Amino acid sequence: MEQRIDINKRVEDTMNSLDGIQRATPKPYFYTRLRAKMNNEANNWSGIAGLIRRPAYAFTMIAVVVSLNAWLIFKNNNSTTAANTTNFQVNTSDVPEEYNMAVTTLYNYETP
Amino acid sequence: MVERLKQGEEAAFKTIVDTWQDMVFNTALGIVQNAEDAEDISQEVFVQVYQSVSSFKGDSKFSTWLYRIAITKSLDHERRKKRKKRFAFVKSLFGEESEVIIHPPDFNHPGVVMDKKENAAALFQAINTLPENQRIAFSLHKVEGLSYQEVSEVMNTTVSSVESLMHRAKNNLKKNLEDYYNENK
Repeated sequence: MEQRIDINKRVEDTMNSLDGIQRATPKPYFYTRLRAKMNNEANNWSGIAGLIRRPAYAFTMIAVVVSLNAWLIFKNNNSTTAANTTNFQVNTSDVPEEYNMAVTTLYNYETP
Repeated sequence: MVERLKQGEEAAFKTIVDTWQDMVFNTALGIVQNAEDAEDISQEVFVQVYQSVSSFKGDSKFSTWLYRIAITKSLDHERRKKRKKRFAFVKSLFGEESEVIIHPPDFNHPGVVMDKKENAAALFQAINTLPENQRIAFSLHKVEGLSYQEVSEVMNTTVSSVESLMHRAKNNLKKNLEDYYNENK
């Protein structure tokens, strides 16, 4: 019985332990650290933007895109020739079903 | 001040930070219970204020808006931390080396009166086990000292809902503490 009273008292004391609590404050010079963080973030972004704007980077990207396009055109030409030679017939009415092209606009998805 | 910040006045931003930094830090600290994390969160809060002050229409008080950002950021931070812990645990199951998970010691809020520190540490531990809404309501009321009316504005709910949340929070805490003291006689 005494033990029970003791535990109840401890619980009550603990529940009241935040009475009179003072606000915690951050370490001094919070604003300075905040500005440093903001400047750092801004520098990171300007670093990425600067890299993208470099002529060497731009020319490399153009070269990659042109090569990819050329490769795709070359590959498509080859496969078209192969399809023509085997006289492969495609029933055009099956295409929308097979490739799930029946829904043509986003609107169709959104309306029940 | 907010209008001046909207016009991009640097001095206005400094004044806002100086005025509200303690409130933001204390709110974050009450939730995450770690001073370093609370500092990071406070910085994130003010970065967000700087970037999105134009979206503040003045429908609610500026302080209410700040509290909401601070709470959202704190909860996001906690979720990120929990995810990291889970990921590290899963990695350890596969025998991969991962960052050592450090379990922080009992949290001591610097604003607690000296002779209540031990009890407060036990209470903060128990607060951590509460469901999110109860934890926020309890923390805003007890740690930040907001009235039920103010808590309801921050949580965008009614005063009676806050009363109910507080009632349930207190019951849960009492039960949790009873178990704790029974185990640690």
